[in-house]
Amino acid sequence: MKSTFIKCLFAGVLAGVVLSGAYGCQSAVDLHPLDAKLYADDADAQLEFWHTLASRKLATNDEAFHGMLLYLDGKDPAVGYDERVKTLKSRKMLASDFKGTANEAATRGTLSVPIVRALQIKGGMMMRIVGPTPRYATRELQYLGLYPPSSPNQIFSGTEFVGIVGKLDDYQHGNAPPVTNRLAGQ
Amino acid sequence: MKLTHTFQTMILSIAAIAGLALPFHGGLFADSATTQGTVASLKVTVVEVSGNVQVRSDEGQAWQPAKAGMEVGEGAEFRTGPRSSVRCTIPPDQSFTLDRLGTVKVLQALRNGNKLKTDMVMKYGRTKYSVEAAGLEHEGTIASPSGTLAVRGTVVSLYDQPPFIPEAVSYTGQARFRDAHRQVNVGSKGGGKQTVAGDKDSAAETALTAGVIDPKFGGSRTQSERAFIASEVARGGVVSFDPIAQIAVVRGGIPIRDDNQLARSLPGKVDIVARWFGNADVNLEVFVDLRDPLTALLNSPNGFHASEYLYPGYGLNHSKSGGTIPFDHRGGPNGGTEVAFWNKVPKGAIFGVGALLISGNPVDLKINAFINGQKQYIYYLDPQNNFSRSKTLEVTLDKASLIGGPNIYIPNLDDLLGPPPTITVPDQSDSIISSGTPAPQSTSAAAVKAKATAKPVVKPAKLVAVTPVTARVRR
Repeated sequence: MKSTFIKCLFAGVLAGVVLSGAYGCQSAVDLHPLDAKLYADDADAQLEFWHTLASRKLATNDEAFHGMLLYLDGKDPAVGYDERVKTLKSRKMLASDFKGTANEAATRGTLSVPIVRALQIKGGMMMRIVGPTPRYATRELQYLGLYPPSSPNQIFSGTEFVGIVGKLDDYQHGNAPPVTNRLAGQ
Repeated sequence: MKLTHTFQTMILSIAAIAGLALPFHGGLFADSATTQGTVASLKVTVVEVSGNVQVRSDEGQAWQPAKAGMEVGEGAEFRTGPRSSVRCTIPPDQSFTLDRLGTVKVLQALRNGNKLKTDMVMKYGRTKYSVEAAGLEHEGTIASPSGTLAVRGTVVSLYDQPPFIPEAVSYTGQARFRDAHRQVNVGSKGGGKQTVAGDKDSAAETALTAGVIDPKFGGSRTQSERAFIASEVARGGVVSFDPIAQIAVVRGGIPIRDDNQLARSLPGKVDIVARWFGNADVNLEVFVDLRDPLTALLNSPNGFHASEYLYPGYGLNHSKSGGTIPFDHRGGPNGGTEVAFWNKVPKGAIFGVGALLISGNPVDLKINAFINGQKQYIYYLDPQNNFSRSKTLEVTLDKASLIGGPNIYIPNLDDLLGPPPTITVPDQSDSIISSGTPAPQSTSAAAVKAKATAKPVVKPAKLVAVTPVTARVRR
């Protein structure tokens, strides 16, 4: 009786470990992706995209990559997630072995690489030696105040992603006359 | 006992909620006198739109592109995209600017006799709000998820955008920032810019945390740089370090007005100095062509060609030839000084001098060049496009900036070409004007006023074809 109980307990613990190993460490997945209309390229759709994204609980890879391309180029001609990934990979903004799916939550580490590449941030000693890996790119962005204290594995909420894109805007243009005028020219 | 405790907790909770809600109903200024009169809604006029901006008159309406001149009423909501902003006015004397990727709603804009009441709600983003306090009583608030900024006659900005810490900034006057934990006064009447971060108790604590020790300060600065920075501090300047621009930053202080005193305090053997006398941030730019002036101007088909460029910060404040801009002076009420210097005098060089008005109103700018403490001639095109020279160049610097105008030559052009033949002789020999020689370039929109009187001479036509590069780095 006692040995049966121990066996059951052991089996339960083992099953728990296996299940947590299989599912526990997976990225969060958004099962309700954004409406495809919001991926259009016109000004209204772009603005709608940003402000709808700001109300979402997490930013997925697809949304984050679309947002990055909109921010970098002002447009995203890619049709679908695969094309977006291909575009970013061709610009060396995503690791060639990146395999994240469209609905998976984007991690801060993944996004940090295109950001440092786009802003041409050279980084500190380690980043110069090993290149912009998610770990060092995240740390560099943290140092520059473009990321809050973060781990590369942490994810974004929609509004956090929008906030970070806003910071990139400040970093790129914040002190330059056009934006200074925006705020000072009253 | 337990019931009493629960009751107390409930009372405290209600009090806390009421306290938070107060700003939305003008409670912050409950002590202010109210002039009774007709209550009228105020119109919000869109003055300036940059980038992608939309507006809707209320929540039930569809978003439409915002355009300058558009008028909306209370309940109007604005939203902006990346690299976009919208500036609106609420007559007679209020205005607000919503910066990139934000959304703000004008909840209330009322006039009740002499009292104006404006409440705005910013979901996220950054909004700057400006109130002119002349003759009218104002109650203005910007509420965001993290707190409320209450304003009565000042210029403020509220930034609240996760994942970053919210910030309230007062540019002039006093405002009150209130969040769930406390209420803090930001700024003071007649005071400068002050910032309160959401996680700090006061503006002083925020400033202390934001202060950075210049990592270069210890060992790598030369003695002359240290002495010059110290002289800025001695005249009231405050030194900090900008980790992004990678340069020491000086704010405040009083620029030296006396040229002899300035010459004694300079750090290098060759010094190019820009001084301005007004509340503005000006950046000095120097383009260097390290060739003999005659070779560069007369024998080279391209004329002036900058091989080096100096600018305060971003790794551009040091050049290969040893040129240094030791700090970026970001201005103050009395103006500021920026210097580019070399510790060795090159055998031959042409320096093109530029100045950018980064922020602030048009300001009087003085440019001088010194070699071993002696003032040098600066050559430039005057407003009539005559090639002129002066030992002090005075310019009213406006947004058009001063680019591609003044040049300094080593050796001096007068030494190379001989002293100019005198045609008319006013009392000083500070300036040369090439009579009738048309200039192929424009100095800048800034009005150049040579301080000294003129002595016209004829100069070689090629000399006028000095075309300094127009590469510009904006900070």
